Amino acid sequence: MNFFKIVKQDFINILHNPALIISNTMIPLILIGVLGFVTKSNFGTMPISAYDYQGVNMLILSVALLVAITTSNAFMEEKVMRGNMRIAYAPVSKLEMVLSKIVSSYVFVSICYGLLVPFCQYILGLNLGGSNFLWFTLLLNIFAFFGCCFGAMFCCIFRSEEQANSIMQIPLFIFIFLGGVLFRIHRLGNVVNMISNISPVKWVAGCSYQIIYDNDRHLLLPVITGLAALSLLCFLVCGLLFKPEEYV
Amino acid sequence: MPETIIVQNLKKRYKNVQAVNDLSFTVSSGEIVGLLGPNGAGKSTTINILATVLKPDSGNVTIAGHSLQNGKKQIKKLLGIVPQDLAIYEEISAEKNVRFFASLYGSYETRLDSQVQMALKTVGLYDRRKDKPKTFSGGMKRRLNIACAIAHQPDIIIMDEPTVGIDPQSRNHILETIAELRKKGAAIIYSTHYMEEVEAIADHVLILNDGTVIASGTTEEICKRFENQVTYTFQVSTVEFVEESNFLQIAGVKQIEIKDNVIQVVADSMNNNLNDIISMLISNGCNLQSMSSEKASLETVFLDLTGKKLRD
Repeated sequence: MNFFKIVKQDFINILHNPALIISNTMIPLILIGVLGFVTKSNFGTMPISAYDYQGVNMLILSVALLVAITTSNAFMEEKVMRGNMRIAYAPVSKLEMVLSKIVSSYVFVSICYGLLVPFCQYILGLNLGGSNFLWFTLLLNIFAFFGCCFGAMFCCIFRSEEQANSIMQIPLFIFIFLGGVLFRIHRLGNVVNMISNISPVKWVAGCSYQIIYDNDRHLLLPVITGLAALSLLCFLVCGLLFKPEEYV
Repeated sequence: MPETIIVQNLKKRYKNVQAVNDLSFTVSSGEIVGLLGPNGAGKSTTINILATVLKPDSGNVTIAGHSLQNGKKQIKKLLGIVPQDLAIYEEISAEKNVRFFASLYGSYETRLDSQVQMALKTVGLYDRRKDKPKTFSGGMKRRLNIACAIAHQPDIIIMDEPTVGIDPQSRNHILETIAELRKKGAAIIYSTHYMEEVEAIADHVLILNDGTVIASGTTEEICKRFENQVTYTFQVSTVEFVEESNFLQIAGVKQIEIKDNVIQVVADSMNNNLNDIISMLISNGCNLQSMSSEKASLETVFLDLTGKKLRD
């Protein structure tokens, strides 16, 4: 089936892009190391060390910030766009074209974060939920899927990788800011706190803390449902706005 | 030969520009139709409509019996497109490129091997099949671009300036490849700026300007309309005293162009006006050093029809 052939080729294209590999593997580790070290004095070692705390936050931040860019690269990066042009001429439907970019980048980031979480937990010794780390991984994974759909949507709206990447940074930074993974925003007042509930980053961060530190998964299903609904919305926008001639 | 592509009254408008205006033509199996036109004439728009990636505003297109409106997928399976830009992946080998794109057209794995091999041999890249296109020269990449379009053995091939920016050897090889494909019965649309390519391979030529066909026929038929037109080129020692208006008063002189010490006069040879032109040159103080004459070629006809004004 053409769809799987294109997904495979898109995945290979991502693997040929060292910037995407580094940003989805090394960058989260560097962020955890740097921020853990900088904020070390604010934490003890029990029950949460600075590295534990930043481990959760920086993994969420990395997914929020880097996954969407990974998809926009798979979609419209100059080198792959030329080849994608020929796919537009082939007997392939436009939804297959969009979905293949989302799926290939999703598979890629799933592998990256699927390895990063156990690496941080078991090799670096961070607390990412102990035996619950699989639930945290699942949550990050669904969040990454939303990031892929979000990145694809911006490509379909702005029709160029550069524009999509630069403009989507704005909502992503707002989500991250409101999500409280860089710094706590509860001091900014009730209004900001209320507004912050629109941020998927805040949903994911809140749910992660519940899973990791309270062994409580009651938020997991609503957050996953919310992320799935947002992903579907992004995909519908892609379906409406994507025109294969944009490749041509 | 049966008509494989039938285009009738095709129209396409982009905001304020009428890119294609009431365009009609046909292409038969085993025929090469050359699309000529300056930039913005509507060649690429026409090609993208035929390639089914662009919707026309009105008009009918039938390809191998399928209408563009409801047979898009069937049409796509029959087409091989060589776009103006290189539509290849630079990071995977030439063979993998050809195999991947051919596989999208539903070729069986068993047939795919021979198809890929044949396409690479046709364009002369079989020996470099394991190499990545990023290591290729411009001409080799252009040839790979063609291999990716022909590996699935399409009945219809549409080429949009496939020889831009390549060396004469590669160009020659590409033209030979296209002639081979015609022999095998493919219907080919060949868009280019290079007149000599059209003269060399096209069975039928369409000259487009502002989205409409302004001339159509074989190269000979088109040139015949200008058979009496001759271009005289004079090399002179000085053009300081030359008055263009004096030349235009000579019966049959249509156009004069002066550049450095070269004077080009386009005239109707039926007027037997060469003697008058030479006399005028001498009386204008030009010291005649050499002269040559040229009958109307496709290029002169093209420039005559579309004008010499620079296009965007």
